[in-house]
Amino acid sequence: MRKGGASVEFADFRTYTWGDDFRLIDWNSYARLDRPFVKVYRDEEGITIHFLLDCSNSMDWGSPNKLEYSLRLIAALGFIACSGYNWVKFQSLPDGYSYPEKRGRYQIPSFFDFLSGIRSQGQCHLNREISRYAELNPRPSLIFLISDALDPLGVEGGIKRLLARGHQVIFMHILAPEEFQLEYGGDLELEDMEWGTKVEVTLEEQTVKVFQETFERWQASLRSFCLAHQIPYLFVPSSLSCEELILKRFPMAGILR
Amino acid sequence: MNFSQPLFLFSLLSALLFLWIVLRRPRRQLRKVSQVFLFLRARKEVLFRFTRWQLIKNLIIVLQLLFLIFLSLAVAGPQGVIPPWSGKYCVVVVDTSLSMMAQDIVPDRLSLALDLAQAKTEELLSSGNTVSLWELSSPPRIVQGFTTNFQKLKDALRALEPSYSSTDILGLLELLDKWVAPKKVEVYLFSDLAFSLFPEKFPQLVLHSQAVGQVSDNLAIASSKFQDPVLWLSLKNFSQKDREVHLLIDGQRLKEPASIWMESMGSEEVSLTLTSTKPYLKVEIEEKDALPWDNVIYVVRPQPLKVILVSSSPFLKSAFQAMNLMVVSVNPEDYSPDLQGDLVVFENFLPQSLPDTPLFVVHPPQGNGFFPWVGIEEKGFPVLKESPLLEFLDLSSVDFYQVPVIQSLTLVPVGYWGKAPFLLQGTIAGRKAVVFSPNLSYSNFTLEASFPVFLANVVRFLTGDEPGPVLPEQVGSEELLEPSYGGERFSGSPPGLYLHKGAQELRFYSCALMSEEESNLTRHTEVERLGASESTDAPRDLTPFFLAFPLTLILIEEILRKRHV
Repeated sequence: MRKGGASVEFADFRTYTWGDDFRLIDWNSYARLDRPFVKVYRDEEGITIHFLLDCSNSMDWGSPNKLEYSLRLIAALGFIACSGYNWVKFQSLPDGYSYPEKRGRYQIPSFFDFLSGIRSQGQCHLNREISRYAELNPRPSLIFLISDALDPLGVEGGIKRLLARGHQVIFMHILAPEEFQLEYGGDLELEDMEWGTKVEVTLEEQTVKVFQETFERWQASLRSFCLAHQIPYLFVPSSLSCEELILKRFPMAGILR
Repeated sequence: MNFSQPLFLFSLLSALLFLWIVLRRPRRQLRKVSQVFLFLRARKEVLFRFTRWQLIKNLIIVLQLLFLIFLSLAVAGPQGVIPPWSGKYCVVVVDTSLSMMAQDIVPDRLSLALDLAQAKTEELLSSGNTVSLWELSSPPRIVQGFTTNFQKLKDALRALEPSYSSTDILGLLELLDKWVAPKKVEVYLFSDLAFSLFPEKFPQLVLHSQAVGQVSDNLAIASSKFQDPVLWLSLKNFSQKDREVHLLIDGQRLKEPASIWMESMGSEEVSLTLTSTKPYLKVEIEEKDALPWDNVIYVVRPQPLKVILVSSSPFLKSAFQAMNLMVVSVNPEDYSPDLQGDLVVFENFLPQSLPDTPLFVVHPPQGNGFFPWVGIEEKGFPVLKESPLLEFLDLSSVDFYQVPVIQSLTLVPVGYWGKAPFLLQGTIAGRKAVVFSPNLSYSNFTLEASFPVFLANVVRFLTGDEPGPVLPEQVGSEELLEPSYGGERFSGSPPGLYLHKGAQELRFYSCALMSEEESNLTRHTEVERLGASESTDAPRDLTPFFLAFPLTLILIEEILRKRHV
């Protein structure tokens, strides 16, 4: 992330306005154009990157496992961030694992050690947890929200709270392939591994078709929400390799250059 | 419901086992998933399908259970139980006598009677009764035994034809009393009722009569007898009014008496001496009435048959001469096959070759008897070996078989051992013949008349005057009688009576029991017929229905599975 500042690297001219420091007026351009301009210099500062990871039981599912995949992804992104001398912070949802803001390459091993110890933490109301995080972290930062968003109450409310605090949010929607392409069928009793809810279904061809339609409607609503709030939305199947994601999808989405 | 194999009902336990397995099996496979709320969002359709499938699945289980139950029942051989019969035995009697041909109604009385009888039969059957169809003629007969099958009765009614005989109402009542009185039958009579019903004879009989025809307007030659040259006529006036009757002989009105006055429902007897020598005369009543058929008789004066009597018995000759036959008596030693006659009678004599005459009677001498059935092994039936009768008894084309019903009558068999009097009557090699065993006249067979008269009656049968050899009529008995012949009881030969296939051309009788057995045989036939009709009440085997049901269940189950799984 780059912001205007007081470094030695020239960035641009701008018209002098009331209150600007006289010392910043470029007199040469004033002599040529007879109008005062001030020089703007580019200031590179270390930005804070927050990783908000959904560690609910629903994430600890799938093949490849969504939680493990997310941790690998965070490790990769954390490495990049630390290498760029950016601040890195990690927070699990629900609150259980927290890594304080740290910067510098020498933090990478400890950050990796921290990630390797993370396990799923049971139930999680995403909206509530994200909102709470937003309350506790008022300073605007770049937030990677990594979740499967499989919360009946949704995730949109929490994201709105983050935005209200000035955070910039990138939503990475992690799902296992079998969650959107059902590979099982017949007479089943489905048990929600996070909430324990049980549902008896008979997955036949027509039923699966209905489910697919429902899933697509749900995903489309998430995508349209993100689009409406100018949030980059990345749908990440856990079967997708991290290399392809970071080296191809991120640059395409403008997250990395 | 009864079962022919009740032990197989234990297979019903398999249904219980099936039920136990169904109840014990895990209901659904449990699967942990990351979310169910998306399934719940789609729950309207998902749950609807789930509920429908659940119903179908339960239905399939019920079908499988029923399949097992019905299969078990089918194996046990279920027998349908006929509910106690509460109907009545009804006898529908249709008069087919000559008077029923009267056309005072269109087309005739019999047609109307048949229509009415059919309607009544249908009505009786629809009320749950059992109906038998009888024909009132002379003699009356049972056309169809008791049955509940309307089609059978309808077919039998359609097959009824005019009998051109008189009405033997007394015979009908006796027949009723003989066969169906114990069953408390109700009789429905369809007749023109031109007779007395003799109600005093059978006071218990429930008789419903339906008169067919208008008021009788009928003149008839009720009976006639001709003994050349005298013709005796019995005329009857069935009209309700007195009539004057004129007789025509060969179309010429009779001069003396010129007319005969007949009172209503009266009869007159007329004796005429025919002067005409014509062999054929037509005698008729001139007046027209509703039934013209009984107004005419034909007087035929046949030429006497030429009979060659090969016998040394003077009694036979005298007996034959009393029969209006042209008898040529020949001693056995003078017999030659060249002698031509209409009928040849060999008495106590068996020629080496028989004449080529259409009719003959053979009574072989003692010791050279009629033993045609002895000593042959091939077909299991004894075959003639030595007798010259073999020449015209071509047994090669005769197919024998044993009739079980008759066997039960313990008739004296045809055979050597029994020395039983034996009579063969029928057609042999296209010739009408009567052959009887030599010991006929020496048996204890109770000839009503003397042997010559018996033989004369046989000849009369052959010449067509009588329905068959006249044998003494025994008094009927309810019990089957053992044959009482003088000889010792046979052994080694299968008892029974052998009939030619078709049983019409060649019939073998045991003389000793002929009349009795024939009577019993007839009775047996009737009993069989009545019994067979009543056997419609026997329980039905329901196995096919019980088998068809599980097969249908399998089919339904397969359709359900293919459509919903």
